[in-house]
Amino acid sequence: MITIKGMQRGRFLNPIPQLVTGLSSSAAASSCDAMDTANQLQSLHSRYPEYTRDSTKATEHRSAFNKYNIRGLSQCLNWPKRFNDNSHPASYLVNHHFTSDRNTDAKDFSSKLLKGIPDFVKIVEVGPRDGLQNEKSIVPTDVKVELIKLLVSSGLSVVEATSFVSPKWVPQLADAKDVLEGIQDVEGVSFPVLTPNLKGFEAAVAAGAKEVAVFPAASESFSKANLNSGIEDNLARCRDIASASRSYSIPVRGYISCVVGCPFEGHVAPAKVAYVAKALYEMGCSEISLGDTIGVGTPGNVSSVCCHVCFFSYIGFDCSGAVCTVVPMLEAVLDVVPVDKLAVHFHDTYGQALSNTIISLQMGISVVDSSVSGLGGCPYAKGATGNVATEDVVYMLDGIGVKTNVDLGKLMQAGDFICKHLGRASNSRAATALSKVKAHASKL
Amino acid sequence: MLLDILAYTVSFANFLQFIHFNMSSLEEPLGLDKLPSMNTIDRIQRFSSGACRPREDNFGMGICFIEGRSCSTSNSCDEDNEEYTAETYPWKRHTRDIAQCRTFSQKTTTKGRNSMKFGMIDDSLSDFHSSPRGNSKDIPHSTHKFLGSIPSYVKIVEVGPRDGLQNEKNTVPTAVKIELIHRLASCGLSVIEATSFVSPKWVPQLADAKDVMQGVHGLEGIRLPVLTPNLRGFDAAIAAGAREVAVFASASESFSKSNINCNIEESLVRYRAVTRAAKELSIPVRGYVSCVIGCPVEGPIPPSKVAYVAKELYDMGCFEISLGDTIGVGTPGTVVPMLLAVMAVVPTEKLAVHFHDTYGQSLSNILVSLQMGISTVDSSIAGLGGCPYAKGASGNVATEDVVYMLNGLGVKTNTDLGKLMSVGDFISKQLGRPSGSKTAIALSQVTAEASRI
Repeated sequence: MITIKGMQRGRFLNPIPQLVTGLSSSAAASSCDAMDTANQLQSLHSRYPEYTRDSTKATEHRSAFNKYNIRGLSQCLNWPKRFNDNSHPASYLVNHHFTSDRNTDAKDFSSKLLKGIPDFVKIVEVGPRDGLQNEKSIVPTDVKVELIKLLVSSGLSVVEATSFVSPKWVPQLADAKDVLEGIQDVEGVSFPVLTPNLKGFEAAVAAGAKEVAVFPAASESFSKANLNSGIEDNLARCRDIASASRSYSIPVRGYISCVVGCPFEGHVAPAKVAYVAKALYEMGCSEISLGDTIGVGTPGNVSSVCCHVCFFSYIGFDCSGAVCTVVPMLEAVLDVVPVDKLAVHFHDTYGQALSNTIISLQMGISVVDSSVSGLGGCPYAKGATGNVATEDVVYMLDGIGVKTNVDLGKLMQAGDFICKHLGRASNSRAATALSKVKAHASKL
Repeated sequence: MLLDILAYTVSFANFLQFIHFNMSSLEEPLGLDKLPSMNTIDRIQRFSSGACRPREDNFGMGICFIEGRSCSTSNSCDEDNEEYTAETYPWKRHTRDIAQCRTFSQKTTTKGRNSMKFGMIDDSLSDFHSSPRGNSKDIPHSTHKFLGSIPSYVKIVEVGPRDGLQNEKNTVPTAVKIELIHRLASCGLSVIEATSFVSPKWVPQLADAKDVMQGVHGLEGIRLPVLTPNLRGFDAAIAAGAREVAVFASASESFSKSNINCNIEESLVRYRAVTRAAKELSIPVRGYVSCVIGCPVEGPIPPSKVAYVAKELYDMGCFEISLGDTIGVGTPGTVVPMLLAVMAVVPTEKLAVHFHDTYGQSLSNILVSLQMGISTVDSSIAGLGGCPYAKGASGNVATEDVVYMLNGLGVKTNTDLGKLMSVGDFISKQLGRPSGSKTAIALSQVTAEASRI
């Protein structure tokens, strides 16, 4: 037995060095046994027991690893307990990928990475406003109303409906009044509307708005370019709106744009963001949404280390070696505003939105702004993506076991509806993948 | 009482500093001329120093912060081909306990942040690297908690030429493949998966494996692993001059059967033969585990199965195990338990992660993996390589996006994002479609705009 083994081994292994040296490789190949690899493998099973393992031993050996399954987590959190649910033609695959049930065991991790993440995250849907306002062609009012209604049916509790800005600046939202009229019978959902000044505020109140939003910037140049006034003037205007809304008992949501990077100034100092956030908090904003307008932020915490190539240095902008990172900005703001008043509004222009979102959640943020199908491109990098897609965010949150009260399937229907109308593909990767999987499953 | 006054004075002083700091910003809006003009070299020299940067060995690998012990990462072949005996468990010492890991404090500074005037780096920063930031008072607790365990150096394993191109409908010419690999090599990447020695019957796009290996023969200092599904492939790879090979098992039985025509145990038998042969020739073997989160056929995969397959591959002599979320369904909620299970049986420094961006989750998955101490990430230039199970959906995560995030995290990669983008541009043009990398698209739009100004 040993002799056969030794011989076999010699025949099996010796030809290889000859092949490597290249000496008479063809001769080596021919002198090498003409056994097919499959046959070699067959013989391996019997002749090299050390390569193989008896099947019962294999099962025992494998079951020894079961202790590494964390209790209750042998299933993907996105996937329901019932694996073969045949009540729906595509449910097999559809249900595999999403559920909004929270798996309480998810939080029993020994790892603290996911422990600090809130149990419930509120999604603020900005598609109908932030998404549609950048569209080249005007979307009809009834389409906007239908979109909002579909979004509401998916479980979203806050949907930014429209904006009361001058139609001269944003013609796509000239029908603000009609949109509000169309959704006035929808109960139990907040519909904040943007109001850049008192005139807009009054028009919003007259149209029946029950929540408004203001939007200063953390960057002076961006403020001047986008809002025609510097930061202080803008904040003064916001204060007027805040005090007016107090008299109507209307909550005000504050947005801050350019919280990590500005297309004109480059890196934005966290202290600046903290200053604006504090001002908004003190004037009575119910929530402050921190927006990475051009999407350059990354989940780092280094604010003064050379990143060698950051976005700005790449285009030849002397950004003084600063890096656009989210953590120092969040820390600065958390110093002055309570965490439950904060929201994050990341753009996916550089693909960084979800990683920025996860680090924000780890730091205790529990409100995330997103846009169905990733509507709304980046006005500063034409053709690049903008808002993060709500479907991708909900997919991730479902997977972590965070409650959102949003039904991903219904949300996808809303996304599907608006993408069909706009005549283009969704910017949401989760929605794209899931619809392909569903289509494939229905063919089976 | 006295202490109260002192505390009040200190906080008032801070408050004044804050006000002054902000007042000046409003009076002097930031202009481009105010920014110090430092070239890149100056910045590198100014903000990093031997005191803060990890010791580097010849391969440019950083120290991984495992209980303060320095350990080489997967490039060291000698260590990896040692006989692994069951009696000694050298890797157990390396198992990471996240709660105790050292904080990544050298490069972070809040002092820097607070003292930075707009766009101007305060000179006081120049002394921060001479006194390494062991002073945890200055760094808020949250910084330690979530980013402290991220490695200071991450190795990127570029899989575009193989994993990317093998899914292309039209076969890419050999010359283009060779050119792609050469260009990738010039970006600073240290490992580039060159090709695969599988039967052309199964993967016709990689039938020119031998010619590709010949074309990249002259590349020095770059590791070029090739896939070898069996001994025949291994022999062909060696004959073609390969110096590193890779094998790929699955954590899912059904996927294994449908993808490589045998169940897990049989594939492990095959690979034991390959690794045995490779050991004889001192050829390092990289192991891949596919379907580590979910399988298109079976559904969710228990972490124990992944741990089992990973351990088997490690035991048979693979120097690195790459954990692949083949269909991209993973989220941090499923990635963390899977990594915990695998890290219990395989040392962290031997692990790599290979996420797919099919559901847009790869970067957040990579972030949590880094937080758990993983220091090798597989990615594909321009996000080459779609998902074969959801036609039209994206697949591999784009190298440009990963490097952009790592740069922002302050993690060293030794790669040049600008050069990576031009390579991504090259291959996207060759394939006649836009890049799968959001960073590449955004930056190319921005540079186009900037050049018009």
